[in-house]
Amino acid sequence: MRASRTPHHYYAMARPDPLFRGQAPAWLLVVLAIVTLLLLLTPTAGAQRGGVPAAPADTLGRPIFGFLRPIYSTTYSITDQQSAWDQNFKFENNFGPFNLNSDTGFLVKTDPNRTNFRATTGTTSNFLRYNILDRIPISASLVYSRDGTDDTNDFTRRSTANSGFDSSYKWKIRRGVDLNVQGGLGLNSRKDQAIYQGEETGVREKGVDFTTGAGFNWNDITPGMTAHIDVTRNVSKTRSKTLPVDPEAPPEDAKRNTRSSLTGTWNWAPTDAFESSARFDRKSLYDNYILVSRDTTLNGLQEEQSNFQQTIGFTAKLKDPKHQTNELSLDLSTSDNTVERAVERERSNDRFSQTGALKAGALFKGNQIVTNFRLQRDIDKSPIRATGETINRTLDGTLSRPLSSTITSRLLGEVSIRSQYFPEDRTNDQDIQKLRAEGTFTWESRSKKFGTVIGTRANRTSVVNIDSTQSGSSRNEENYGGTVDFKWQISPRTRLTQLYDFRILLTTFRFNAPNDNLQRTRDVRTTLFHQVRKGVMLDVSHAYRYSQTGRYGRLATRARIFLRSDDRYDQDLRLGLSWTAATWLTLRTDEVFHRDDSITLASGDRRTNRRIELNQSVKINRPLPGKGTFDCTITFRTRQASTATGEPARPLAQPREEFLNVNLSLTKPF
Amino acid sequence: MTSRAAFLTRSTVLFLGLAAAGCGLFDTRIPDDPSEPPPRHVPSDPDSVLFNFEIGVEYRASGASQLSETLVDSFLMVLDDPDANRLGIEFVPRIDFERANRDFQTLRVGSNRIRMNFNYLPDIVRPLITGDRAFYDNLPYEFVLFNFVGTTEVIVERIAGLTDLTMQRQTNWAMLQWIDIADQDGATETYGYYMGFYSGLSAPRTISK
Repeated sequence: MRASRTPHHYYAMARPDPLFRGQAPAWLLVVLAIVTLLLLLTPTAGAQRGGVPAAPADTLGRPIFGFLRPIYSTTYSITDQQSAWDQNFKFENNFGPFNLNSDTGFLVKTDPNRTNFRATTGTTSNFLRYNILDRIPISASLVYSRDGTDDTNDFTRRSTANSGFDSSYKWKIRRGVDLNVQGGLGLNSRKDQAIYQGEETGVREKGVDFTTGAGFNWNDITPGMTAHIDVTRNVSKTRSKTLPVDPEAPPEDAKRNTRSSLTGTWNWAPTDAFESSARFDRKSLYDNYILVSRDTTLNGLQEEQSNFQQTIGFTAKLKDPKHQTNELSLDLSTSDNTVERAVERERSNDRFSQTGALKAGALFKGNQIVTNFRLQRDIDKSPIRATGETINRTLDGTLSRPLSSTITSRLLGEVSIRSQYFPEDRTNDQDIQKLRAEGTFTWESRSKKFGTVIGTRANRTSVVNIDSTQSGSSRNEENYGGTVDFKWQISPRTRLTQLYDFRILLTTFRFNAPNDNLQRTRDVRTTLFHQVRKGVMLDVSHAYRYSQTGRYGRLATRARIFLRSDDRYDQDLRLGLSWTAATWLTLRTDEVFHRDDSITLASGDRRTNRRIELNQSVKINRPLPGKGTFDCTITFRTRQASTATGEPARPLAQPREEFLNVNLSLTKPF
Repeated sequence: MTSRAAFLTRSTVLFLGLAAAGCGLFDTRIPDDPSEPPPRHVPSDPDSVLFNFEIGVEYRASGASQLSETLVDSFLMVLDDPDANRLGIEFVPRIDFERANRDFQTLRVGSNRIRMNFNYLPDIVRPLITGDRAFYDNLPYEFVLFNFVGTTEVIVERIAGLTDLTMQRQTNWAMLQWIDIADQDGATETYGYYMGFYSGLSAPRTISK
């Protein structure tokens, strides 16, 4: 089991961080010292300090850090022997002309199931903003961030520092029309270091960037019509130095990154019965950087990447203000996403997509009808692969009708096709056609004590592979089934539900009839909920499934016959008891009994798996005095399984497995 | 809604219904007569899905459809952290995975041969089946790219790792989530790395501000 993926911001204060040894705390202290110094020197800051609402009291009833309001949070978890300890320290405040944000974190992950695995990740990010003048909107900012990981084979460090000035100004040209302009200048530096299996690579960068932008708003062009346009452009120039893995590689490299964006929206709603909108979003980006790769032929090379994204869309809707169910809407959009790379050309691509959707809903003689038609065309191109085109068409419709005050019915139909074309090499040409029909009747007694849902369904999926190399796999999968679902509220404290389901899955091959097969499956699921006393809930559930599998042969008379070859039984019984002892404390225990039998009819071979699980958990969710929360979930799970094969059955016990899962979480503002 | 709008709505509903009925918009093409299809197990249990995946990889172009059958529509491959960091992406959805696998076969395997195995180590990992889900914990896998020099097999590249593999039973069993884990000595890369690399997905690396 792999440790769950966690966000990349991990925080450290309580435990010294080996990644930041000597540096990150120093940076933090520098930032804190600057803040304190500026506070002392700026009269406004002092005045503002008095104006800031009092910080929340700590557990002793006193504010600890006054204006800074730091928050410490930590989580510790053990999941099947993998442990993860995540710590997070952040503070944020506005005082006078300053705005400060700081995040620092540290994470340690261990997993005894992975050889010598221990991963540590640390990050710190500090943001300080200073509004230079009250009347002129110019501000200065300083951002420093640093992160790194230590894995069994990998070691990475990255630090980034940005500082700069930016300004923005908004003009009100006339009523309903305004213009906003902005500009900025920044100084940046970045340092990357990576060691993989003893091989070291690194990149150092220093640079400058310029940002310009403008926004335009026009409200009430005509009644109900508005327009908005934004445009930004950022150019950064960087000098980059990489460790010369290739002696002939240039030791220093000048880089230029350019990104620009243009977005616009237009809305028009002249009446309650009609509305329309158009949107436009265009982004372009040019980047170059040093490749850090395990592939020595690529490592240290200068990659050039350009990325272009554009979406254009239009929506129009006609609706009945008196009956929300009556509407007609049209949605059209295109999107284009192009990535070009000079070195890793395999990762280049150009994807273009067009989509159209038409939706109509109408109430007609008591029947609510909703119909959708969607058409999508995708084109996938690249310099190194065959161009592919995929067309999707889908039509679906639902009809709902109340048959009486307690019975409602719903019918659903859908047809779709996905066609994939490769004009240069049709090996992978394919059509997938799907047909679906479902009918559902729902009944609920007036007292809400009884209820049932009866449903039937029929689906067919046709997979058609066009080329001779794959057409042997062309097949139809047909699925027919029915469900009956009961609900019985026996008493205010007891509820029973039961579900019966029967389905047949039939797979027939277009060119390979001997592989035709059929599965028949029956399910019965029963659940009982009972409130034993206040705060104590008992739930018992049982699931039974019986599946039969075999060839679906064709006789000489062309009649079909089911040649059953394998049977399988699955049974699960779960007993659960939970006790909410207090508003912040819940205890729960679950016992699970499982048995499955797989039988090969021809040989009589039977394989029986049995499993018993016992889960016990404690959940605590408690607010701390002052502010802050403490959450804790501890689960202990033990599992014993056995497998029996042969005749007579010879059970073989598997080792007992025991798992302790712990999740502790503490958040405390000071 | 005006009577004209109501008429328009109902006409559209009717038109869409008729469109479904018979204009051939949803007809499939006629396939070619087939060459020999790859061996296949009925995917009525999780192990059969593993078998079909192995065959789907080994038969390359002619196994692509079989490999596709082993994935549910919402299939997701989750990359190992170091791979995710190098590539700038964390997940590969099904549509990109299938494309990446085609490019992997064409560009990486190229003129070599390939064989693929799950559970190739002596300790066989069995699935834990709960309801309609099956879970293989730390299931080992390897892809071996090889060639023959005379009658001697020469290994060109070995790609290996572990996967926390979740399968789902809808009608048949199929893979729902492949969490890729780099943990194998002697392997150049994980399969997840190559699927991320050839997926065409990418994120720009820039100085953040």
